[in-house]
Amino acid sequence: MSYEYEAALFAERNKNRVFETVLEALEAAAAKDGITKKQLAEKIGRKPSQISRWLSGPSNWTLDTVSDLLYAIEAEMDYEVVHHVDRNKSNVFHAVAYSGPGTAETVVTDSGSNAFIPELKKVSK
Amino acid sequence: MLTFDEIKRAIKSGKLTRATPIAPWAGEPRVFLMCNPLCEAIQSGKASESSKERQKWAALEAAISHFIEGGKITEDQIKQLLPQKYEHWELRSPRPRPSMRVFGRFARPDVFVGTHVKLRSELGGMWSSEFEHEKLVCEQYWEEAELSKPFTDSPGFRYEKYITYNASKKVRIKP
Repeated sequence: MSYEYEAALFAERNKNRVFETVLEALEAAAAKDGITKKQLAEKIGRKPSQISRWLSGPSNWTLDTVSDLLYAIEAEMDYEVVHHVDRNKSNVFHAVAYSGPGTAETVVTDSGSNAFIPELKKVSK
Repeated sequence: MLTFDEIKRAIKSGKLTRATPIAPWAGEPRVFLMCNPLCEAIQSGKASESSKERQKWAALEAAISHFIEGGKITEDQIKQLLPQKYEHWELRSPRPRPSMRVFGRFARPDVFVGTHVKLRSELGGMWSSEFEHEKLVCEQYWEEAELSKPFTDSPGFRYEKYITYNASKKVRIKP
């Protein structure tokens, strides 16, 4: 039986999402408490070079990696299953990507929340 | 830097193809456009009979999707190649091995154009003739797509000017 391509895509997407969530938490801890890679490594009994490898991407992560890195900052993941059908379509698009009804001129911009993303358009619901 | 009209014309004429995120509900705060050689390589790779081969291309597509969806980007994912003034970039998909590299350039901030893809193992070391050749191939495909000058932040080449949010050259954790 062959591995479905679509399933492989979602597996990779999930790795990237977990990686981003953990990285965000580690960077926040570094900004708040000044934690370093060396300190992270010491807390979980690893070499700093291993931490650097982990932080370069999720390709060789396991569930243990997630646990170890979060344990080092005294945190853990929370989990929730969301069915695809229950997902709401995002309304954040780059102006080049917007392909909704009408022309680009009909795209409503939200100059408030996305003012830091100059070419980002927020489409009204 | 390319204008919006220029990008739209290139898409309409079939010279560029816009990649879409894996999840249909995801937003697209960034744009990844593909020249035909890249598009054809992905189509061919994902149709491979080998599960391992398909998984490799799925990882590459996921890396592209991560960029489009506004995911955190560092030099480990997208890196500007030296010398910076020529505006050659690579998107990295390190695993499953063999690692792959998509060559490309920024058309505008947050709008990346991937020209073609190579296995890292075929490129040799930094400054190897193979690597330098692929930079020229990148320029050639860019010209074949009839695109004008790429976006540049010369002379500063600040990473955050190319990818304007949720991106930093390095992970923000000190050694």
